[in-house]
Amino acid sequence: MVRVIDAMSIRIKGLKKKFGSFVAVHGVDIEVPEGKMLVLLGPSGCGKTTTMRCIAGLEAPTEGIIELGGQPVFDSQRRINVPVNHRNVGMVFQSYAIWPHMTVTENVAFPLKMQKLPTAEVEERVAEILRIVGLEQFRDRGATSLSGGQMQRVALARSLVMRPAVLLFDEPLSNLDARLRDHLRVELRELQTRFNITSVFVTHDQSEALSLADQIAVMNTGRVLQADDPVTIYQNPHSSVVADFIGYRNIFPGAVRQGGDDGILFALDESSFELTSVHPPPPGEGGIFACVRPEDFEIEAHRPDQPVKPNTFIGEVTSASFMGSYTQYRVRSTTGQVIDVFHNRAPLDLPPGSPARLHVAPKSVLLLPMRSAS
Amino acid sequence: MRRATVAERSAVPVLVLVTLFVLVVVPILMVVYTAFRDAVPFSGSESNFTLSNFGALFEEKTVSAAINTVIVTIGGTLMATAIGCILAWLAARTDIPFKPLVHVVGILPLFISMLAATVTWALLGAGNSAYLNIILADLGAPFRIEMRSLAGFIFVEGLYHVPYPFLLVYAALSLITSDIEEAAAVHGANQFQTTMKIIFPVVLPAILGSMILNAVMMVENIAVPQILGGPVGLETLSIRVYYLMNRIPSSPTQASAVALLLAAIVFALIYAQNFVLKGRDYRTISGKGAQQKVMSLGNWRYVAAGFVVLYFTVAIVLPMLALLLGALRANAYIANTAAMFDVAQLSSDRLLSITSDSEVINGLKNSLVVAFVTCVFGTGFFFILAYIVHRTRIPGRKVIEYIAMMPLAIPATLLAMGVLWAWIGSPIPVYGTIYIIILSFLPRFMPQAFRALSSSVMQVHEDLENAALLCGATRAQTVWKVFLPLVRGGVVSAAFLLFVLSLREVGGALFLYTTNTRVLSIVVFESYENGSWDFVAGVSLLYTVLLGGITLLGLKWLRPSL
Ligand SMILES: Nc1ncnc2c1ncn2[C@@H]1O[C@H](COP(=O)(O)OP(=O)(O)OP(=O)(O)O)[C@@H](O)[C@H]1O
Ligand SMILES: [Mg+2]
Repeated sequence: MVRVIDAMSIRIKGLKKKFGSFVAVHGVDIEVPEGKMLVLLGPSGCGKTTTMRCIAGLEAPTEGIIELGGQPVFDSQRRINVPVNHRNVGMVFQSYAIWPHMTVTENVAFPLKMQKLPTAEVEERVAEILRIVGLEQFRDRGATSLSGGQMQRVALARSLVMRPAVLLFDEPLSNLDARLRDHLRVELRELQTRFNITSVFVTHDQSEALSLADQIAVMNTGRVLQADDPVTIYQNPHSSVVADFIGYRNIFPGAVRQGGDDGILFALDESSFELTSVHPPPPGEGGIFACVRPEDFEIEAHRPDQPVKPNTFIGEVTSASFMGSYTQYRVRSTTGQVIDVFHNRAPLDLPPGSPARLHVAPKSVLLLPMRSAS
Repeated sequence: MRRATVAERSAVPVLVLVTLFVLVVVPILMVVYTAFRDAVPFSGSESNFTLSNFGALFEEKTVSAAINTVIVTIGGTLMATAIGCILAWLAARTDIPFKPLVHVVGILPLFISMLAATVTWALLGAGNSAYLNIILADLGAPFRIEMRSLAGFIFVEGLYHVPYPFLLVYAALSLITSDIEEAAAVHGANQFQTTMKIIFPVVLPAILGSMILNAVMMVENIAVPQILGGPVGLETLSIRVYYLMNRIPSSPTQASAVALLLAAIVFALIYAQNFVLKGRDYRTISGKGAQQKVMSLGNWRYVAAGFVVLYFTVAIVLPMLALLLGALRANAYIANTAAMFDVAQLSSDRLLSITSDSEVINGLKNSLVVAFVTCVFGTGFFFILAYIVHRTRIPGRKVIEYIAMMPLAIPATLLAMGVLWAWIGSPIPVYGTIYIIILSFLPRFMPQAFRALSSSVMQVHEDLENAALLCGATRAQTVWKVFLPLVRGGVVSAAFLLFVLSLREVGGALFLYTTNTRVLSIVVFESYENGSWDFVAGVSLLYTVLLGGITLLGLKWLRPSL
C-alpha cells in the first residue's frame, strides 16, 4: 500500500542570499505546484545549492519569502524563520550523508523516531519503504558497506519515509556511473510521481533536467533566467544564455539585416555568411545570436560541382566521433565558424579532412538576445 | 518558539566567551598589570604605577638566566630535532628491522614525565657520587659526567623532546607517496635530486614546526633547571621567575616583569613559526597510492638498528634502572661499581614506606582528582568550543578560536601566577583548594585539546548533521545521536590526552598548592629540595609507573597525531 502524500506547493518570492558582501542569490522567484518536480539547471557556482538550502532552512536568506503549502516558513519582513527541523522537508544530498554508525534500518527509521511514532508503526513504514526502494535484503547492513547506488537509495528511503511536504535533491546522481545514473533517474521520477511529492532537483546536466522536470528553471549568477516546462524551454528559449544550457551548441554572434516574407536575414559577425530564420528575435539586450542545435544540421559530403542551397555552410571536418546512436562531427566552415553536428542516421564516410556541407532549415535557426528583457 | 531561538543563540556564545575570558584572559591581564605596579593589586595592600620592576631584567642574574635559556633552547632543540628526524626517516623510509618498534621508541618519551626523567639523570650524572661517574671512576676513565651544567640541561631536554619532531616528520614523510617521487624520476631527477628538491621541501615545514614547538616547551621548562641547576645555582628565565616568587621576602612584581620577558621570547618564537610556515602547509597533499618507497640500507641496517637501541637505552632503560636502584638501595652511599650492583644492599623497605607515606598518598589522590576533573570538564567545554567554532555561524566564533589558542604563547609560570592573583582576592574561595590548580590546568591544555577536538569535528561532513536536522531532530538531538557517535574516538582520545597532561604537569601548579593540596608532580618537584635521594627516586619511580600504567591502559585511544 502506497500512501500518497499531501503535497504542498512551494512559493519563493524575492529570495536573496548574501555571504558577506558576495551576493550568491539575487532575488529569485520560483513557484512549484503541488506534486510537481522543478529542476534547477545552471553552471557551477550559480546559486542552485544555496537556493535549495534556503528552502530547507539550512541557510537563512538575507531577504525574501518562502512559503510551503501556502504557509510562510521564511519571511524576512515578518521575521518568520521556521527552524529546519520543523519544516518537514526531505533532502537527498550529493554526498548521500548516510550515517556510518547506523544500519540501513536505523538510518531510515531515524526521522520516524524523531516524530516519536510507536515502534510497530516505525517498523512497518521502514519495511515498506525499504521494499519500495529495493533494499529489503540490506536492512541490517552497516551503512558503510553499501555501494554508491545503494547508499543513494538509503538516502532516498530516509527522505521518503518521513512523508515530507517537499523533497529536495542536490545533484543526487552525480557521483554514480552513467548506467546506474540512467537507471536511478527513471526510478526516482517514478517514485516522485507515485508518491506525488513536490520536489526540487538540482543538476547541471541538461539531459537529466529535460527528462525529470515538470518545470525547469535555468539559473545563472544567482538569477533565474527562464522557468518553463521542458518542451517549451527546449523549443523556445528566451535568450542565448538559456539556449546554451539547454543544448544549443552552435551560437553565433551577428546582426539582423532585414525582415522579409520568407524570413529574416542574419549576418554573422566577422564573416560574409548570412543565415535565414523564420523567428524574429524576442526583446532583450546584449546583442543578438543565432542559435542552432547540433541535431538540426544536415551534414553531407561536399562536391564543388553540386549547387549550394541557401542556409548551407561549407567546410572541412576536423573531428568525427561515433557515439552509437549518432555520430558527432565538428566542422570548420570556410567562413570561419566552428560547428558541432549530431548526425543520427547511418554513419557517413566523412573522415577528418574531408569537405562537408551543413544545411539548416530556417525554422531551426533561433535568433535570441543574450539576456531576455524581463 | 522564536524567542527561545534568539535567547539560545545569544546565551550560549556569551556564556562561552565569559568563561573563556575568565579562564584565559583575566590571568594574563593580572600578570601584565602587576608588572607595572609596586605591589600585587587586589591583594589588600595598596599599589601604585611603577616601571621599576623592569629593573629586574637588567640584574646580572636575570641577564645570565636569559643567556642560559637561549643556549639551552637552541642546543636542546637541535639535538631533539636531529634524533627525531633520523628516527622518523628510519621508521618511514627504510627497511630497518623491527620497524613498528622504531615507531614505539620514537613516541615513548612522550609518556615519561620530564620531571622524573630529570631526577634520574641527576642520579646518573650529577657529581662524583652519581652512578655513571662511579662506573667511570672504576673503569679508570680520565673524565666525569656533569649533568649540573648547561650541557647537562641540553642533553636532558634534547633527549626527551624527540617525539615531537619524530611525529611531525614521520607524518610528513608518510604523505610523500612513491608516485610523487616517481613523478620526479620520470621528469628526469636522480635519487639525490629527488631528495633535495621534492622530499626535503615537503618535510621542511614539519621540521621547522616541530623545532619551534620544542623550543617553546624548553623555554618554559622548569623541571630541568630546578633539579639539575638548583644545587649549583644555574638558572634559566623560567626558574628565575619561580625563585623571585618563592624567595623570602618574595618579589612578585619583579617576577611579573621577568615573566613578561619570558612570554616575549615565546611570542617571538610563535611569530617566527607563523612567518616561516606561511603558505607552506603541505598536510593536505593526498597521494592515494599509499605505496611507500622503502630504501634498502644493506649492512647499514645494523648500524641504524644500533642507533635506535642506543637511543632507547639512554633515554629509557638506563634511567629506569637508575630509578629502581635509587629507590631500592638501603643506603644512599655507594663506594664503587661492585657495591652498586650488590643485591645485599637492596631493600624494598624504603619503597614500601613511601607507598604508605601520607604525603605521597595525598599527592596521588589530589593528582587523580585534578586530572579527572580537568579531563571531564575540559573535554566537555573544549568540545563545545570546537563545535561552535567549526559548526556554527555564531558571530564571535573567531574570537573564541583566538582565545582558545592563546595559552600556547603563555609560559606555565606566568599562567600560574596570573591564576593565583586572579582568584586569591575573589569572593569564590578556591584558593587553598585543588580547584585552583584545575583552573590553571584548563587554560594550560586548552590549545592542545581544542586542536585535537577541532580536527575530529572537521572530519565529520556537515551534511550528516543537516540530514538529521531535516529529519526533524533538534540541534541537541543531532549532536547527541549523530555527531557524538561519529566523533567519539576523537573525543575519547582528547580526554585521555587531557588526563595524561594533567598528571604530568608541574609548571601550571606552581604557586597554587598548599601543604594539603600538593599534586604528585609537586611532591616530586619539592621532595628533591628537602628529601633524601632515596625518597626522590622512590616517588619518581611510583610516578613513572603510574604514568606508564595509565598510558598502557589508554594505548588504544592514542593517536599518532598527539
Ligand atoms: N557558506 C558560504 N560562504 C561564502 N560563499 C558561499 C557559501 N556557500 C556558497 N557560497 C558561494 O555562493 C555561490 C553559489 O554557491 P552554490 O553552492 O549555491 O552553487 P551551485 O550552483 O550549487 O554550484 P555547484 O553546481 O558547483 O554545486 C558560489 O560562488 C559559492 O562560492
Ligand atoms: Mg551545488
